[in-house]
Amino acid sequence: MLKSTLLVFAAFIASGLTAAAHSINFEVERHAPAVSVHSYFTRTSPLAGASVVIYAPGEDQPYQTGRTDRRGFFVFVPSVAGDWVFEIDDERGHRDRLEISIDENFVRGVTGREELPEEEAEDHYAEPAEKETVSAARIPFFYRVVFGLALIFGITGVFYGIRAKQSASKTE
Amino acid sequence: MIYICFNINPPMHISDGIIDTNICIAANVAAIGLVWVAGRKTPPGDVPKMGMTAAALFVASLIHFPLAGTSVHLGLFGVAGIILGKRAFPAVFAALLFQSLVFQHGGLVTLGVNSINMGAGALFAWLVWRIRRVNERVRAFLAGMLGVAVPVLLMVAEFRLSGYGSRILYLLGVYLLVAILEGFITLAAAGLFRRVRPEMLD
Repeated sequence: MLKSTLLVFAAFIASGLTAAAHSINFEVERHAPAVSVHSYFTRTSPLAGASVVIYAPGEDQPYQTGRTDRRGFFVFVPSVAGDWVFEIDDERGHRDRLEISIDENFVRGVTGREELPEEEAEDHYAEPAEKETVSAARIPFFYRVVFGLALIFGITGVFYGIRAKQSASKTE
Repeated sequence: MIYICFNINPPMHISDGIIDTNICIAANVAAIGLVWVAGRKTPPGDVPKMGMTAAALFVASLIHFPLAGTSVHLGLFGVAGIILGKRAFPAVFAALLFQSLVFQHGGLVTLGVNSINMGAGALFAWLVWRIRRVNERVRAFLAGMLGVAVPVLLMVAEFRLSGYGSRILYLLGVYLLVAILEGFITLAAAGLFRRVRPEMLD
């Protein structure tokens, strides 16, 4: 009985740990013609020097490769509209993939600057940067709360089992 | 600097990379030792109570609300102290560990520092709660206040010792209001337990 109870609680812990891995967060900042991606675990622990591969929409071959700077930033200049893929790997067990949608207007700002009337081009370039924060874990908040609680209750159950067993053996 | 330290809002959790790593390692060792000391010989009947309290602490810090132009969250360390006594420390440690793992709230390197700060709040609350000659309502209110005030004072002292400027002191003002709020919440919780499960308070 005790063994099966411990197994149930161990399963609780395992289910929670699956979601509790050290996740990467991204902050994507778009300011034509460049897209800047800030990768970090927490604000004070960036993914510095991590390997990055950028893929253009629908392409298998890398469009750009490089490494994040010491603050976890990587900048690239998309050339076409579509879903660009940003892959990051810190070569220490943390890797993730992020899709960044680029629209025609953004690309016009990049490639069509000369074709735009001067005023329009200036307006376009004067647009403030758009910032978007993405949690790489992409696990909804509610599920993360549930996972955390599953871990806590799981450990409580295991601890309870151990203490109950110790008490029972002392009584005997 | 305030922004970097507190990741937008000023929570009580210190993130990794702020406090000297050697201090953090020493604090982690000390915190694990305290978990062992406070948790050993726990009667099996107290374990579910510890688990429930850890779960409540875990959830409480995720609920933010606006106050004094910023956003703060509750700690419930006073409640933990009066329910669990010294065994509040392992519960605080577990709650902080999973906040760090699941929400990157605080950090793993600073887990020991955060646990000692917040665990001290719960332990001070317990000490105040044990002064039986004082009215129970007053004790509950003070326990709730100390549950927040002690961690914040320790955190501010650690930042000052780490060379951060006096702007950090503004946290004292913000968290004084939270401490008062926690005092009332602890008062209400103690009143509820006294009516429903009085054995939890004795």
